[in-house]
Amino acid sequence: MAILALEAHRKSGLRQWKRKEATTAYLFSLPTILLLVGFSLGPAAYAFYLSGVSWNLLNSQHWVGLSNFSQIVTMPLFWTSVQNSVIFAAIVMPTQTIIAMVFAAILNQNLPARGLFRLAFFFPSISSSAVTSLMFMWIFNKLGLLNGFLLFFGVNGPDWIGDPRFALSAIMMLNIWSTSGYFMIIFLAGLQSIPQTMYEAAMIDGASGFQRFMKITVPLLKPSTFFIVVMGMIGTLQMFDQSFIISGGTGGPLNSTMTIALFIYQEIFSYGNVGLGAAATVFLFVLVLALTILTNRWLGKPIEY
Amino acid sequence: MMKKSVTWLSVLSVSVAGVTSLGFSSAYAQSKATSVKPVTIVVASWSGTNVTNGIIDQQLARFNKTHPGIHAIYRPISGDYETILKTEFVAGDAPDIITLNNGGQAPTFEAEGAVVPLNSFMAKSHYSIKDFYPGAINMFISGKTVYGLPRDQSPLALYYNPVLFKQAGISGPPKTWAAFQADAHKLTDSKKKVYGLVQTPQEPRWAQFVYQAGGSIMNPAMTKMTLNTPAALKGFSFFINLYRHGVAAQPSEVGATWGGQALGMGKAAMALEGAWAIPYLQDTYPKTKFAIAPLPKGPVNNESLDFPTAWSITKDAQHPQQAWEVIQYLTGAGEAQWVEQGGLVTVRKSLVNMPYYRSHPIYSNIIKQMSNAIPWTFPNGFDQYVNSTLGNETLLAVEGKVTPKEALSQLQQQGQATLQNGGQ
Repeated sequence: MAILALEAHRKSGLRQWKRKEATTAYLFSLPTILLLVGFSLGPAAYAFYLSGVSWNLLNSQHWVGLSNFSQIVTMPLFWTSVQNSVIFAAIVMPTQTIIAMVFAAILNQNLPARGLFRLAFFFPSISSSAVTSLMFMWIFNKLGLLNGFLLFFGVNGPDWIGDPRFALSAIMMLNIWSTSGYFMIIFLAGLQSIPQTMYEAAMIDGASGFQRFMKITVPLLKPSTFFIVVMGMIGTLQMFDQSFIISGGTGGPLNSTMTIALFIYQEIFSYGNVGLGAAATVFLFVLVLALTILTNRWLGKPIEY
Repeated sequence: MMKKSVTWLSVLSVSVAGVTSLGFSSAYAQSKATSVKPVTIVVASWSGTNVTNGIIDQQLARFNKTHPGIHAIYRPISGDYETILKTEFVAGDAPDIITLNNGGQAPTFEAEGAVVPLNSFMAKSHYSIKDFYPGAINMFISGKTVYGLPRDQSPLALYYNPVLFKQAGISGPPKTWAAFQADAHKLTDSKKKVYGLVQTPQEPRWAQFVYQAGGSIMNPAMTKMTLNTPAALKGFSFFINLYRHGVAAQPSEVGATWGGQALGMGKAAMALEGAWAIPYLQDTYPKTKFAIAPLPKGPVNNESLDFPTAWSITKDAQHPQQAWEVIQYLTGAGEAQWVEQGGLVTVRKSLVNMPYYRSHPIYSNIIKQMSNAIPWTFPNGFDQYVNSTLGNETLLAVEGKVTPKEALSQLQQQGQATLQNGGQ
């Protein structure tokens, strides 16, 4: 009897303690939850709602259902922006990942002035992207640094920013330059966790430096690679600021730098088509979600030694 | 990224406004602790020009000294002015007085009821608009409703580099289209990357050629596009052919961002700009000599394009009567003269002979151009057409991917479609 009562008492005490523990936990995370709901999840839900209304910011909203979606899929400009964003992501994301990985592997060696190089490569990611965009506008200027350098080799460089064939590539270079350093740091952290013994064993077996990189470094960096590929994909598909600054907010020349995010911005804020912009936002959300799930299937599996 | 930068700006502007109003009211409380709290009127405009970075502040300081019951504060909006303003209307936090811009922005704010009619205030104060240039005020009147009172304006004029003209053996600025084209040929030195004309290929730099050929962009009531006429094609082709013949270049080809800058860099012998380029060139490129001439005459006239702005009261204004007093003061003859110092010209006919223009003769040809200038405007709903369609078709024509005729018929068709959608 007594033992049973004691047991019941202990159980209820445990429950009570657990409840108390949970309350405390929620209380501690409350500020973050409030911020998340108020400034992130809430606005995101509101964007879903807006994708079904017609509104130009100054008049009153009225519900139009799915007609915003049927309207954007018939807009050539929307598909131009999708195409630009996808091309941009497809080129920038793999390039920045490979560059970051190779540079991380090099800077993980005991090189002289290693700290200086790490700083130099990381520097772009701590500078404001508005500032770096302006800097690159000077570099890509028709009479700028890059064309001066090319002229040194007898190449007459193009008008990088003014020519629709080159404007997006110019932004690609800028983006690769500015993000590779940040991802390099993540790879460097990943490299620290690879046991040194594996390299030693491989060396004893006679593996060359390149073989060690391909057979040990690359596979064992998979968790970092997964993170970088997903973050890189999201970042490149949502690229806005660099296009905005380099094209002066127009997405020009000839819509060659029009990305989905810039399209959304223009529709909502410049042209007052809030519903169309919100519909494009939902499209971008679905696109990013689907690609992230696919990447998770491909790279997200745990490593087997 | 996008959301972040937008909220950032609004947070910044709100906090700036908050800080300034706090500073003012506490200073006021110290000096006049007994009297009633003055009404605060927030005046907004874009930042980045000489008028909006300084002159308005001085004007409002003078106003506050003579009007103890009202406290006017200037809130410059940096970045995308209309965009930020629209978000402030959504938040119900719009300034009491805003600047209406040309290029189709004024009709948008008017049609959506964001700014209020001024007629009743004008009648009560016996305010006359007869002294304003028609080109400066007509754009802000819809039917008989006056929505804005002109602040400043500038027509396009021909800027040129007299040193390059002399080197090419040309005695003076061109007076006709034929001379303009011939001079551009002589002045172009593609090896040195110097061009006869350097100009962004955009509609507010070619519309005047259409007018000069006897054509127009839209009918006067703005209910129909009129780009499918032979006259429109003549004017547009003249502009496009300067590029096709290699005597005109885009600013980016010479490492500049706009025509005025290319002129200052010595890369352009001529550029079509308004008075805003005067202080810019004097401050940024003091070593480059420049002069200003009226626009060369086309087949019909030498009509120019005018870029007026106006003060207006918003629907969110809590004290419209006090806001009206601020506008009345700012647009009155006493204050309207100050815009000169910001490189824009007066909107009042009675002020064209004022001493400032006599001591600054560089303005004389811009003032001459003012009597024949058409304001640059579009109806409500033309934002996308103005910001992207016009520029894209012009660029395609400049690059030779479409003929001038094809570009104009595209513009005609898309403009008509925009009109039929009724501003959506």
